[in-house]
Amino acid sequence: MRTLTLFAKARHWWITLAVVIGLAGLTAWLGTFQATLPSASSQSGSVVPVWRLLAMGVGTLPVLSLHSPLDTLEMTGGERLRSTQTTYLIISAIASSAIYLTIISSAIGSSTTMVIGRSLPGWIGLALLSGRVLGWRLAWVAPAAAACVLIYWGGRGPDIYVWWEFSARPYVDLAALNVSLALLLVGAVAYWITPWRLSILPMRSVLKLLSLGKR
Amino acid sequence: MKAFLFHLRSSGQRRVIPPLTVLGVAVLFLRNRYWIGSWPETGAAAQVTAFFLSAITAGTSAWASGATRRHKLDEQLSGGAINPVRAEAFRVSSSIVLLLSPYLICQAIAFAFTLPEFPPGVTLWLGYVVMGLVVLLLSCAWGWLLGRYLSPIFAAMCAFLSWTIFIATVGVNLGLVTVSGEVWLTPNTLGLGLRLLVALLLLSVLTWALSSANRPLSAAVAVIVAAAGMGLTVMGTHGVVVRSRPAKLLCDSGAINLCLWPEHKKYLAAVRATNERVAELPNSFKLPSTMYEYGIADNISVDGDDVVVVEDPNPSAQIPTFELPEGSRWGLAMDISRAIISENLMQCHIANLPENDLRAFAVEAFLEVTLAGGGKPDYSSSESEQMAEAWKEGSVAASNSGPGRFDWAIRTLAKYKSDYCAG
Repeated sequence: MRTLTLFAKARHWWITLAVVIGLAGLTAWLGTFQATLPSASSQSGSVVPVWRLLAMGVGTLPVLSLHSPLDTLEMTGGERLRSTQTTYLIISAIASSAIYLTIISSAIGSSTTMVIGRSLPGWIGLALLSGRVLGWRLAWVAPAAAACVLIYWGGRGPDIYVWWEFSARPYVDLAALNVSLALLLVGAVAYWITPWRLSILPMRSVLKLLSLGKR
Repeated sequence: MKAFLFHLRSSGQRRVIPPLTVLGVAVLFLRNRYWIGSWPETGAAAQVTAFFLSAITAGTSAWASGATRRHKLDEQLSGGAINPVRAEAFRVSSSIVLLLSPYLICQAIAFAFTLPEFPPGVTLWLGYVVMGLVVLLLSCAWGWLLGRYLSPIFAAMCAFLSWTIFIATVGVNLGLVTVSGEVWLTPNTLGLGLRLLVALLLLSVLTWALSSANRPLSAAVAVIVAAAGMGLTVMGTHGVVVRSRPAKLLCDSGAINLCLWPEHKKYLAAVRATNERVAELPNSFKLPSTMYEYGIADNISVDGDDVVVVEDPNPSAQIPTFELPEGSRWGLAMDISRAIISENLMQCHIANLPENDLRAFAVEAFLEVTLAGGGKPDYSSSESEQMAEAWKEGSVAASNSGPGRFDWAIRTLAKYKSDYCAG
């Protein structure tokens, strides 16, 4: 517990909490505002509610907060650091999502809240993938790129979305839930592949292949 | 110059150019290609890439701006022999050059694809290029400012989100960006040139302010004044304005004299084919003598992002208009069929026509399907159930071929007129 507390303190957890609350307030205030954005399917653009953009931010925050000034050193950290980091990530992701959804639910309605709740695992997964490849501070890159793709190519008309548009389809849609969970799984796998696992895994595969040819 | 080139070569933002270029090219080509061959549409389509590139540019700019704080170099830089303003200017300018590159590459590609139509109308393309440049410069400035003062961890994401929300809500309404390049609109060269100059001035003031550590109050005031100036410039100028009527129209003198904007020369064949189908209509359908493409008749104006139609005090003298949304034959057929029905119901008082009798609408649907050449419409609409049924009735009647295929339409319209129209 003490290790976890120190870990969280070093990452200024209160700033993350403040930003989550700020985004929740912004969503409650402006979330239903309809913005006109370019769309590939319509020359006049598509109408996108602002909450779709803000939800992406909330999903990215817990992963961004993993960064620390000693991030290069932490990449060589042992089991204790890894388990503390994983615990912190899970707690901050769940707490951020719960606080955010609780604050916005009364302002934007339960069905929209459930759509956002379904999309958060997907955004977290994308942030984990981006953070593992580019560094935790750049965990926003993959969610940002995905947001551009979803906004521009995800719509097919008013309230009509392609099957992989996990951030906007109705909350009962199973395909969108599957996409969101699949992205979380991809992110979790990317998070699990630490630098030493990455260096060992190909070697094991190569050694196995080599051992097949041995007498 | 050497120092500037050094910054260009060593900046981490170089790695952003290839993925941003791929994103821009994808936005340009993985959509309909109707912009190819029409300069205003080409410019607007490539300008749309600036919308998405500016959002990521804001985040990247914030990340680059915070580099000195991230690597704890503030103290070394402040004690260095180089003028801090000059050092900051090198960083800002190299960042701008790198982050503008993907957008300029996309515009160059769009230009190359529309080159066969050079030069008539190319100034319309250039205006949209400047529109996108202004957006990118402002996003750079915003990201740079946030990167300097926010936590290095959250600055980039905050810059991306805040800029996207700003440009999608306020930016579109102020005419900072446009989502489509209608042919009856033209970029306001003077206004956009002024915006570009003021944006460059804002960046210069920001560069000076962020490197003036010993004059924080003056710096803050200067930035606020420059930002206010930019805001007033944007609000005081229009991004696009209505074009004046061209000296020479492009017309197809068939059954109806259909006149287009010269930049829509590539749609002339489709317009001619529709006009030939109009000529096959029986004489009992009165046809308008002339129809103009939307905007030619000088009866529209622009208010912010809205196009407003000016009411003509003499509606019967108005020349009916048609639109060619992305060259759609259905859009053309719909407008021509509507004009034909209006022409045939000219003697009727609008007040006498009941809203629940949709026979005229059914005949209009018949004409629309006939003039479009059959098939399914390329648009979707959210009309009422009654209107959908009437439309279906007309489209089914239009699917009949043979000598008596117009009988239903002639009979229905004649009965409708006898029921409600005098004379």
